[in-house]
Amino acid sequence: MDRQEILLKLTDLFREIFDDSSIVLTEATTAEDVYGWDSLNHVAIVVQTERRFGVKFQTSEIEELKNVGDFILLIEKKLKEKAA
Amino acid sequence: MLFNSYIFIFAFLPIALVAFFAAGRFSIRLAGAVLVLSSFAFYSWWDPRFLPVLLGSITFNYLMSEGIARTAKRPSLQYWLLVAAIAGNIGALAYFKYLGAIVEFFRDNGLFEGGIGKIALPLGISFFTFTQIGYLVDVKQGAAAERGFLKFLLFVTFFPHLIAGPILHHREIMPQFARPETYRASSRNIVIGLTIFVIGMVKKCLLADPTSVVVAPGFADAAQLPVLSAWNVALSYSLQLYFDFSGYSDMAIGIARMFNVRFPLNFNSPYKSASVIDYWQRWHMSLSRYLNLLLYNPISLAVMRRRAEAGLGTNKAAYKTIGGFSGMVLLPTMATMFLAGIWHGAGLQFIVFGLLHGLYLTINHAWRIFRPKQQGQAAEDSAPVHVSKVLLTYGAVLIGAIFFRAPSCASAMHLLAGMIGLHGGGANAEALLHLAPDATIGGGIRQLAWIAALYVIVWGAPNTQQIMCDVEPALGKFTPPRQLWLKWRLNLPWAIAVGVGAVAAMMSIGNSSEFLYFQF
Repeated sequence: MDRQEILLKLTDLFREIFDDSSIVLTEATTAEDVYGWDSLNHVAIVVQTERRFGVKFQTSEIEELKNVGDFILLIEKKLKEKAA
Repeated sequence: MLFNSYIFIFAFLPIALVAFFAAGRFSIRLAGAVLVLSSFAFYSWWDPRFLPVLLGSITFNYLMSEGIARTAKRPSLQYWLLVAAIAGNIGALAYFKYLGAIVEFFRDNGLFEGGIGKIALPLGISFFTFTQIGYLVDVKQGAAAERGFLKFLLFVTFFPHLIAGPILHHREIMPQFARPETYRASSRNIVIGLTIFVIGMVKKCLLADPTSVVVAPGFADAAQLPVLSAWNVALSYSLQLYFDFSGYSDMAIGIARMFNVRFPLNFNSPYKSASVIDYWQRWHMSLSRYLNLLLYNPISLAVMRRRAEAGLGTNKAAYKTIGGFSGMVLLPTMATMFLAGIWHGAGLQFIVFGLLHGLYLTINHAWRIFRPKQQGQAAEDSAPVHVSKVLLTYGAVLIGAIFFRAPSCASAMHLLAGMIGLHGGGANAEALLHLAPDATIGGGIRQLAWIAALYVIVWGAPNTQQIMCDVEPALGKFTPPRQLWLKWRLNLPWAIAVGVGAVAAMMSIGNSSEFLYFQF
């Protein structure tokens, strides 16, 4: 799965969680850009991502993310670890 | 020794800086060792009896962390080592911080005879214990590179954060100590650090300390206060707390910067928040971040993972069900804030403080979840709406602060009763007399003007990192001040302003009290 595909999948996931079909994610999107992206929804995003991509994150990993691009990098890393 | 004491400013700090950079010319390890020794001297200055507690805690945690690091291939053993290590830390904290209060509680209720002697609270124990628990978890999750005893000592004891934070992450500090440039004196960083330090000292000595005069007598006499005096005490405390702790944090950030180290932010104009959720992102930020990482996220993750496995939703629609709301919002929020309350102290008032904020946050989340859906992205609030949100948030925070400061819940309730007029007292000349520490009408008017001026600063002025935004004062994000002339530059007018601030703050050092957060 390349970065673009991950981004598209994440966009779908965000639209569902925030119940807002107008959300458009880019790698530079941060929590401040998406209305309602607070601590509560952050965990929801993480858990849904875990299920859809079949990976598992650690608390220290999900805390450091600065933007969607960082999150995609982390997902890529986890997918590689899973494949190995 | 206090950051705002002559011995610290004119003796300890210059000696520690010179020794560190002199040693840095020979070797990084030597400089690290010199800094650790300076930090021990700094810590022992208050009370050398506590040094063994600090050393014991560090040794225990270092050994446990190495055990955890070396059992990565045996996950269940590693897990239990982590559990034992955290239990050891909490046990020590409970002994020093809570045992006395628990024994007293049992004795007062006739459940226990006799007593134990008073247990003195080692300075900074809540902070260095939390720092080290965070480290243990990082090691378990493989997020702590740069291990080793000297590095660990440096991380935990580095004196700017040792007593009262900011609570640091290993991974944001140790890479900085790994860089050779950190060990070479930089006049630029010393100037920047000193400037931030002076801003913090001005907040502490010139704003917080004079405001504190009415606070202690006010809380001691809470049952008698008429309405204006009660407000005076509550508002004065709220302002004192902010300027004291944010001033302390600025000083810590400034000192670290002189050693070429950037700390995370601890305050971001919290009283400007327009919601309580926002407030906790801006008040004691390093503690919020820590609680989020070690309590809120794990609890919330566990609940949501279980729901997801059971085929229950974890999205907006699911929050709207009773089970979803109580599991995913109420439980993690209340549990986290309850523990945050207890962390501050053993009294019932701290539990009330924690639960109140848990309730505020839950209501805040409920509002976001249940209110009718708005079209598209939220537009900017109009000015009156924004001002009412800020005032509502501040009012909620103020009630919490009264419990936070009060010697007991009864005292807090008395003060609140006074504020709504239950102890009488209108706005007459006599009420003004009550306001002033010196009981004169002129004093009362001066006190009103002083409080008004502090709110102008709290709500109108840019914060330290905004003023210093061009020189990356800390780790994190900051925006430039709206008033661009308030942006710090390396020039003569600013040098004069900072110099005047430094002299004025130092001249009032004699009246300074300890920092409020030293009791935690």
